[in-house]
Amino acid sequence: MNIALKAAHALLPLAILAGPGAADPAPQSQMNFTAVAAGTWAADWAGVAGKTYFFQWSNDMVNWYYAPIIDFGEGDHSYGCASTTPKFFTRLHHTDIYDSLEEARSADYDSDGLSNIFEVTYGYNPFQATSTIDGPDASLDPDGDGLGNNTEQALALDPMHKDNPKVKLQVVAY
Amino acid sequence: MLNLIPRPLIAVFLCTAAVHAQEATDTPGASTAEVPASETRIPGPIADGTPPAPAPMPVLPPFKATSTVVRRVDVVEPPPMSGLPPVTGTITQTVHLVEDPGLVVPPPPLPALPVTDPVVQARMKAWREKFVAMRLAFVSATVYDHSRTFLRCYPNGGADQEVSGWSNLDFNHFAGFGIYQVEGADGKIREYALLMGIGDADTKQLRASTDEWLENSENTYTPPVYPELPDLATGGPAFVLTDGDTTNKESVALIQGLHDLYRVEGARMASAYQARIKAEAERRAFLLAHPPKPADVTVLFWERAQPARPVRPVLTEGGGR
Repeated sequence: MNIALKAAHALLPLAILAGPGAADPAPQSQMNFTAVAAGTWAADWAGVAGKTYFFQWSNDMVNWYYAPIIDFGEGDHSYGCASTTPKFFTRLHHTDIYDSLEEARSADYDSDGLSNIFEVTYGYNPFQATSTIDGPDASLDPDGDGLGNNTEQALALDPMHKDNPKVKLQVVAY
Repeated sequence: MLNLIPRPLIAVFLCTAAVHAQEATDTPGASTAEVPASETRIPGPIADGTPPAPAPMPVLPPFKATSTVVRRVDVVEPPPMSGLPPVTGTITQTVHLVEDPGLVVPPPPLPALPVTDPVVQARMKAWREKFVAMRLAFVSATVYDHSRTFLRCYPNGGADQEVSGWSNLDFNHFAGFGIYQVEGADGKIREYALLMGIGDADTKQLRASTDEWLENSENTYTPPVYPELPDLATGGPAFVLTDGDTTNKESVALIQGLHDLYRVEGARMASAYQARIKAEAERRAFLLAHPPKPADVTVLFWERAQPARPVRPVLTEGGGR
C-alpha cells in the first residue's frame, strides 16, 4: 500500500489508519459499516471540510480498485455497496489538495489527460497514469473501437461501448 | 531434538485398563481409579473431515444501473489447500453505479439490560448453578512415527508449571475438538479448552535428510530415545514425565487427564482422525483432477441519502486514531 503519494494524501484502510507524513493531514475518523438488507452494506463516515474522498474496494486486500465515487467536504457521507464475492473490503483514500467537489472531479492528478472522475468512473487509478500492465490509461481502448480513452473523454463518449470512428472523427483541427 | 538425551525418570504413571481398577490417589506412581465414562468425555462432535455446508452465495438486490464498467482481469488466488498450485484465471469484473435501491436498515441492537435487572439476575443465577470452571490446556506435541509423542504441557499457559514427558499415544488424535472434560482423582470434574501445537517427525526421513549434511561433519544423527512405555494395545494409554515439577497437582492432572480422556474416547478420536486423513486425500485428488477457477465479480455502489447509523465523530486529539 503506497501511503506516500503526496504529503497531503492519506490512505485510510478499513482497519488501519495511515501514519502521518511530512505534513500531517487533518484528522479523519474511521468508516462505519452497517449490514443492511439483502446482503448489502452501508459505508458511512464523517466528512471533514476541505477533504476529497475516493473510495476503493478489493476482494483480497492486495489488489485495490477505485469505485466510481468522488465525494467532498464536511457532513455525513453514506454509500451502499454489495458484491457477489464472499470477501469484499473497502477503504477511503482522502486528500486535502482540492478546494471543491467540482475541482476534484475535473482535475487530473496524474496528468495523463484523463480527469479524476473519468478515471474512477471507468475503473482506473486517478493517481497513476498507468493503472494496469496494459499501458498508459489515456491510450487504452477497452471497447476496441480505435478510440483511446483520451479521445473518448474529449468526445464525451463511453469508452466501454464501441463508437463509430468514421462518424465521430469529424473534428478538424484548424 | 536430534540428540535427545533421556533424562532420569522422575515418575512413571500408568493409566491401567478398566479391568485393573485401583484406589485413586493424587500422588505420583499411583494408578488411577476407573473414571466413569460419562464424566470423562468430549462433549461436542469431533471433526471428521465432513465439509461444512457451503456458504450461501450472495444475491444482489434488484437494482437500476446508471453506469456500468466491465473489465477482464487476470487474477491469482491462493490455493484451496496447501501444496496445490494457486488458482489462476481471467475473470470478468463488473462494477455498477446504481440508483439507491431504498433498502431498509435493520434497527440497532437494543441496549443491554442493567445487571440489577431481575431477568439478568435470574440468568446469572442459572449460569452460576451449572458453571464449570474451564481451564486452558496448552500442549506442545511432537509425534514420532505416529507411535510416541513428546509432550510439553502448561496448565493455563503457566510457563513455570511446565511438565514434559513421553506418551505412548499419537497426539494427532487429539485434533478436531476444542473442549473436553475429565473427572480428576479428587472426584471433581475439570473442563479444559485444548490449545495444542502439534508436529510430526518421521525419524527415517529425518535420518535420510541429515545424512548428507552430516557426511562431512563430525556430528552424527541421534534419533530420540524413547523411555520404556507399555504397548498401547495391551497396556492402555500411558506416559512418563521426564522434566518439570511433578508435585504440581495442576500440571500432573493436565497430562493425566489427557490420557484418561483417550482411554474413554480414544476409539472415537482415532476414527475421526482416520476419517480426516481420508477426506483430505480425497479432496486433494479431486482438486488436482478438477482445478478450480476464479469466479467473476459483480460489485454495486450507490449513494445513500443518510448514514445507516450515526457516524463516528472526527477525533482532533490523541494518537491511535
